[in-house]
Amino acid sequence: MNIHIILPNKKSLDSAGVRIRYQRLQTFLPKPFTLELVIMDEVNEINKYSADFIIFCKCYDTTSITLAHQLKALGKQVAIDVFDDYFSEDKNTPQLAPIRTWFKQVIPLCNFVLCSTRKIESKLKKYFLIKNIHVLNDPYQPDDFQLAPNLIIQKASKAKRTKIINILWFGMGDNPHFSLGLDDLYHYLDFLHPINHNYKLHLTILTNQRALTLENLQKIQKISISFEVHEWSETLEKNYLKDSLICFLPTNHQSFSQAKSLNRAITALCFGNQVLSCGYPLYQPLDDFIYYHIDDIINDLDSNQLKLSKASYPSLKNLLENFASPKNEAIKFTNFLSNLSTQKVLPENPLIIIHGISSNLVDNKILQKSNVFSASLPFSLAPNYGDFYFFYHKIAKKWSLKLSTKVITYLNKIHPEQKIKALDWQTSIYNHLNQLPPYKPGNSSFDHIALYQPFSLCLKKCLTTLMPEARIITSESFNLLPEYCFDE
Amino acid sequence: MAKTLNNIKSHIFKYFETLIKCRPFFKKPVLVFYHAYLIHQSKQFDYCFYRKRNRLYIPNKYLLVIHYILIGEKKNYYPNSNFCQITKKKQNNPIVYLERNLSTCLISGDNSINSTPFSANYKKNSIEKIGSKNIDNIFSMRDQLSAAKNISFIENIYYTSQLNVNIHIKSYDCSTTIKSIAFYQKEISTKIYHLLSSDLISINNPQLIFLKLNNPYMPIYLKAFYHNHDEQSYCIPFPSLARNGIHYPECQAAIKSSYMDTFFFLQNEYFDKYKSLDKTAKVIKVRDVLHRYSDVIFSPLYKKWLKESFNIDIIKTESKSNLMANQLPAICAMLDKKLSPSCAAKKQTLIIANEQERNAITIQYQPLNIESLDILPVVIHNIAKNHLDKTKTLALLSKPPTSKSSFLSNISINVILFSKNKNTEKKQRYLLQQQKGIRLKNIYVFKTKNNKNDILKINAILKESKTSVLFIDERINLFNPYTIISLKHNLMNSNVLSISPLCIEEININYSKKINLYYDFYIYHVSFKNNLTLIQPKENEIILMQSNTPVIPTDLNLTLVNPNIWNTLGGLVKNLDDLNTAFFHLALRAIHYDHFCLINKDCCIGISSDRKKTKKPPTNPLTISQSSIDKIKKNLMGIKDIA
Repeated sequence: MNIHIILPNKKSLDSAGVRIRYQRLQTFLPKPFTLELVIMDEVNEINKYSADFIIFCKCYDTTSITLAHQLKALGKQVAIDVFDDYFSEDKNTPQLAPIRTWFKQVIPLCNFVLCSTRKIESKLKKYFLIKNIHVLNDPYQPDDFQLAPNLIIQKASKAKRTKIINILWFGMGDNPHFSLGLDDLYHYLDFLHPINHNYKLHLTILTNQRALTLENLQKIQKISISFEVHEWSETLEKNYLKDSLICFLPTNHQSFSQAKSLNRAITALCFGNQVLSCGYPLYQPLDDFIYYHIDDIINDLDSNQLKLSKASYPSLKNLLENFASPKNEAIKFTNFLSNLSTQKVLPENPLIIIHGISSNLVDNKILQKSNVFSASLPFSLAPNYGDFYFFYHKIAKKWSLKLSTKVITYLNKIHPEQKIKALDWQTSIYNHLNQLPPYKPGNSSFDHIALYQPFSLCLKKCLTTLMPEARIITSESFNLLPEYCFDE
Repeated sequence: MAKTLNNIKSHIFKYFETLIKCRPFFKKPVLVFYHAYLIHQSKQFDYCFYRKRNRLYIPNKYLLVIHYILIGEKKNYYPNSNFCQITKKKQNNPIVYLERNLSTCLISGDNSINSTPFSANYKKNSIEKIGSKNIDNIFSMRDQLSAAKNISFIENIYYTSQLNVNIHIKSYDCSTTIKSIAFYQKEISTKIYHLLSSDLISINNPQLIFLKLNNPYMPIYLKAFYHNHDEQSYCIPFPSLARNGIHYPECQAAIKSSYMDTFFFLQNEYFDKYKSLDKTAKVIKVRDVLHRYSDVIFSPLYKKWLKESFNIDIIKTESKSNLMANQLPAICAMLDKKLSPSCAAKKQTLIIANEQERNAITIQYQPLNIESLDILPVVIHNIAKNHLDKTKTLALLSKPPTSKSSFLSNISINVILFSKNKNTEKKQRYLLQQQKGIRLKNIYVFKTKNNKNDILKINAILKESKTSVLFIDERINLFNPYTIISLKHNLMNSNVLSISPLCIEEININYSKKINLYYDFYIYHVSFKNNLTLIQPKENEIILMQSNTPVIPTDLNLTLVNPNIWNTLGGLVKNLDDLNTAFFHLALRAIHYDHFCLINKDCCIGISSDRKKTKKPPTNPLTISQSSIDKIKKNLMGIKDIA
């Protein structure tokens, strides 16, 4: 039983998600399950494809939908993983409309969906009405966990001896779509000011280089305790995790941040850190080991009663077995996979890809298949190209839909009883075409946005009339399109 | 002065040179940015935030005071990993203060008071140490009454971080009389004054005092000890009005002659109001979703200050919020009885004091909600550059702003369409028909806006019209089918004359398309200093604007008009050049009579770009008569005129 995780590119092999989730899981999968990380470009010759379960990881493009469509027909179990909530805050993130459209198109093809938290699970159920969801908790790294008991003692005694409390903040400092990371750190700075104490606090910030913009550096300047900033790396993170007494993990209340997994707190605890959480109580499941006020940590340090101590370590271990044990997670996951109802081999229906203003379909090989067709809107890059495209008669001031010979051949093969010519097919869609705007759209983006919905709706109606059995998907990554343009 | 200036320049350059020499990894051009402000010859202050590469530019007649300097190797836009913050104190030159010590970390800074160079030296020698136990009663109420009156020996005050405040003392002037100064903050619950710093005043050095506050919003108390054994107590009741503090924009909006004068002026003014303030419990309602809980408004220190000083609680609500994200009520809002957040506020007026280069910045008087157009003066903070990202913003602008259920009813409107030829007219008619929830009653077509005779016709149409009238230009592309209905939704208010969406235009540059904001309106600005000024808005101001902002439109590009108010105001005046000018005057007249032209930021339209350059404002704003300005101002100002 082979599980393939399909990644969009080589770079994503190093991403935190892949590292924390799949790579930690890999060695713990019970037989006969195996897990492989595959890059999408390497997926060739679909018919000979060996995997039984295919999970698309962050492949937000049309190629993945096409592959999913073809693999499903071959009787494979197809899935996507959803570890970030890019969909529920639709009002605040209109620029993510292409991703949400991708979700809407790929989810009907999925046998199941994989996610990392209950929060995302409930959101997926609400927004996309998905039934078959498996929650895969982020597993901890077992090697790290062994270090904890010694580190806990060392850290507390060092802090008492030197009167210096080292605080660590680590992680991605920014996100192109949401305000988080260093923004959160900046907003929750107040929580780093204990009332009465005789310690010197020192904050270390480990973050990605992209986040160190001038704006963010200005914000960092507002920190009122001594601090240093380093560019994040795996080794640095480990070193500082071993060195610090407290991990500061502020979380804001936006949906995206609420849906994050517990992995940062778990990593911090595994290295014997006290966790200081503020804002949204994301780490509540670990409540026995979470602090909400820095004063409490200092008091507990003075009275030798820190929440994470050598005495409480076994109970932490037990707790993590429920939430983050790689072994348990692997077993739960494979049990879930074994219980999936088998997917039958189906005849592969035709697939029509509508190219929008900015189409993200890269792989041309897909289009060469006999039952994959392409359609263009008048504002596509190549508006007069593909198997279906619109044509404006200047004199008649009317629109018509041109069909390629590939389409005609296909239609004649499907309906051998009626030998119909291209012209006759035209008449069956005449009503739809009549509703199109009485002028040719200009070059400006405004024209495109204004006429996007009328044209794409009309095209979809025409295509369903001509090929009712076909699956129609839209390839669109133009991020200035308002969400209603995709409505049907 | 020029000589001193050159000295500073050469000094700084020398400083950088040595810096570069001793750091071999600076192979590429060096990126320097520093936080600084300039001191004017006549001791007037101008705040600046500089980011400069390679060269420092100091305008004549200014001296430079540098908060901190950051230096790094330049690689793309971001400083690379060799990025290094250099801080150094400069002792020889009395004017250039380079704070913090040279550090060897990648980037590091230490704002903690322990490492600050100046006061550290003097603390050791401080003769008169005052412990917190002795001073429980040193501030009598009488002291506090006179407290905020110009504390003449303070030359400058500013925040360097969230909790750190630097205070410059005029040591040349006052060292002969004052021996030392002590600073305190009071813990309300225990009534204990915590000593923040106690410094000797010496003539030899410029006195720079570094304070680390317990709470950045709470009052700072000072006690000056004189050589003749006198003691005098002072108070700075609202320190956060200081430069770089969270309420600084409020101070900036009020700026009269110099920053320090205004600062102390406001301290007095606000303190007087504060004494007579009714301190019954009030609430500010905030929608938690909006603020993501991470806003300053939820910070423990801020909440504590609000509770202890004003008896105001922040409560979470699911319905209407008093504040938007990144907004705080201005101090004047909490002091004004009429404007106190709990009760209905009065009148709308817009004050924007905006520092372009800073990211925490503006004060606005903004409508609380569309229905009542109530106003709460707010300070907006933490507007990051990435919020200004055009594509994102514009995508944001193009969504249907209200829920679909409100589109079910068919509201009829009349249309006045400007179109030179049949083709554009056909296009405009098609797009108008695509608008949801709208029934088009009559469409009147005019060829141009320049025909004086049309003014009479248009006045006549509005006189007849029983429903709202839409003006639409041929250049307008009504790409969003929800635009008109959402405008109509906002026109319901009884004192709104007109409402327009935000305009955007697309420009082709080197085969790639670029989208710009197109301004067909002025923002009006009522400051304490100027009476009424019209401002050509800039992009960041647009972002800061709330969904409905009162403006003066300069063009009838796409405007939905309420004919009742139009007629009440007497309609367009005949003898003006064109329609746009006539409407501009009507809009000015409107604010005089407490009516408003709004711009709605939540919906936008496209405008085909004009090859000609953007035209000049139709009339000079100054042609408004002074008496009229006074009246407008009186109408607008919700708070007492302190100018």
